[in-house]
Amino acid sequence: MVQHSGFITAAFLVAGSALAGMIAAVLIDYRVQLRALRRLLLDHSDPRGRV
Amino acid sequence: MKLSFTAYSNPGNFMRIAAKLLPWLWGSTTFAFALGLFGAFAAPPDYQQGETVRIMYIHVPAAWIAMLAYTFMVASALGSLVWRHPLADAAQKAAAPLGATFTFICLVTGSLWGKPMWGTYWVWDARLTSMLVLFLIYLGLIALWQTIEEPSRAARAVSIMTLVGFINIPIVKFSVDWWNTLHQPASVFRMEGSAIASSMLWPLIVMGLAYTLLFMTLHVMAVRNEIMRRRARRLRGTLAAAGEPAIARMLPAEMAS
Repeated sequence: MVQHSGFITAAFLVAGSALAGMIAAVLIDYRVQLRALRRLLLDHSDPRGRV
Repeated sequence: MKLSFTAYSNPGNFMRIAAKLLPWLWGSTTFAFALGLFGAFAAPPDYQQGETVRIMYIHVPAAWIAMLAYTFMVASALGSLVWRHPLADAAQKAAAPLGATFTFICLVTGSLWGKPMWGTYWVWDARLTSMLVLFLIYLGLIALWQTIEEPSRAARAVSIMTLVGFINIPIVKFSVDWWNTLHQPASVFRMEGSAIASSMLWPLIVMGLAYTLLFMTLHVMAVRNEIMRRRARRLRGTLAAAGEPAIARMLPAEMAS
């Protein structure tokens, strides 16, 4: 049995969750901004019709 | 072909370069993390700390990036104040939440390392307190961005605050030399060379590289998101001015009036 394994596991879990959360937040924000721009450009007859 | 800094700092060019760069950044980040984590668990245990030393491989790089992100924000703040460049504003705004997250990781993993080694989760010594102050500065800057609606005015206010807060970075770095702290002194970046055995140093350096690459990748993506947010805001303003009632309802009150 590894000594202090609970602390090691908790540290890796916290760091992993925080990094995963940060990646997810940036990806979700990208989708939100892309949708907002697409809606604005397509719904209002912009001749370019693209982001 | 003539190369110029301003050509690459143009938001349109940035979007094109980012699209080409991101797959490479993601690939190298994944590879560096895989190699770094393998090294972190393949490295021998410490003769005093035992297996607990493995927390070092996630704690120390987080501290490096927390300070690196702030230093990057200071450079962007200068770009924002001196050249009034919109991309510098976006770079500064995008780096703050990333820097705050790395500081949070550093504080929590340090606390979880401190309990078995020092017998306490927290102590108000100079290194730990200055790192907590850095986290609070990040939160303050994020809040300031949200407080002011107009991006260029917000950027000016945040830039000044960022430059003022830079005083904390040398305090974090040299706190272990200037004061008598429970936290150990510097053992990697020293004038006399690293004090860590090479079998434990290389995974630490690789993890540092992995964290740096992750910060760069997420920062490029976050700057891209910020450029898109500003484009959408400008487009809403233009369409509302052209008499689009549906768009006018989507605008913040102060812009619509």
